[in-house]
Amino acid sequence: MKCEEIQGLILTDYADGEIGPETRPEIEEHIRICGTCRQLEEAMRRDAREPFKSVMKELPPAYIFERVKQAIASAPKDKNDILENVRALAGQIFLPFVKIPRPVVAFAAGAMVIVAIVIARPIGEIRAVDQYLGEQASFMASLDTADTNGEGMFDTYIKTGAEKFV
Amino acid sequence: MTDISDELIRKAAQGDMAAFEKIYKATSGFVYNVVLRIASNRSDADEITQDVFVKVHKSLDRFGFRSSFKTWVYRIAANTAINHCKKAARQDQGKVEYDPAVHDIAIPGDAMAQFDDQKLAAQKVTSLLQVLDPDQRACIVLREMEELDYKTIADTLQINLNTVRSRLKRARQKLIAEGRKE
Repeated sequence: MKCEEIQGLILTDYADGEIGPETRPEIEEHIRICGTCRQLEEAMRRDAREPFKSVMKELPPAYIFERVKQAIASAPKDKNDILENVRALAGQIFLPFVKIPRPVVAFAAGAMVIVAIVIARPIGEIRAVDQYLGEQASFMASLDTADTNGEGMFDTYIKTGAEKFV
Repeated sequence: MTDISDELIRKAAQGDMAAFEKIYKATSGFVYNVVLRIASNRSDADEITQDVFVKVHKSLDRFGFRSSFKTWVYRIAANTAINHCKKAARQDQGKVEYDPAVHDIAIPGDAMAQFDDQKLAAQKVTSLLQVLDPDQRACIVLREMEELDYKTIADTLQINLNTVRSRLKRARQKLIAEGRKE
């Protein structure tokens, strides 16, 4: 390994014991023979690690828990809380679906739509219904057009006679 | 940290304050130390610690029992402290205090000389941490003071392992540069 790589490890994995036992001897040997890397390792220990080791842990002041209790007791049960509850409930209900992979959900949804269409429109009736709807659409489209002078189909029938529609 | 059972968490989530107090007692030590070192200022640390436990209480019913409870609390503590520091920096309200209060430091017997050493050590750490940005500070505190491994730091801060490495590396380069000035 080159010095740059060794120095990166001195500042991270080597110092923090995150390095494998197979790599450690190589770094230790490099530090022994390379003055620059040795100096970095010493500075690392002295300036970046030891100061933190000599600090005692502290306890929080006793009044903090009293303040926490007061804050919890005085927390308003407002609209946000209700929304939070609704969100949490929705989360519980939909959690099983969230765990299913998206392509599977999409496929299942598509299949359900196709089945719903097939059930709603029996195959034998589809053509007859389409034909009927097509005729009705043509009829409606001809209403109130230039052919009827804007008078509507019934008025035109009265004026021009039934033969127009024969 | 004393073990916190799932049952205790469930009870606290249902509003049992005695259960919540047990959770507070088991976790407030490390929460306070993490927050104090990231915030670097005692009055902010008090306020942030309070905020952390209000958030913990409010979110207990959403704790999924899938991850470690300690990591979950560390995450709330570190993120709350980091966000506070970033907000304070934006508002230019960042301030440094060297005030290790006498009442809360664990002093063995009457060893005042040792206490003075402690005071100096705490001041040195506070000034060193000030040269780091809040993200780097959180990584250093979790690694050096809480002795968490890289994976736990990554889980706590919700960052990947290489980000943990790069933040530690840059932070330590800054700390070494600071040491050379002295």
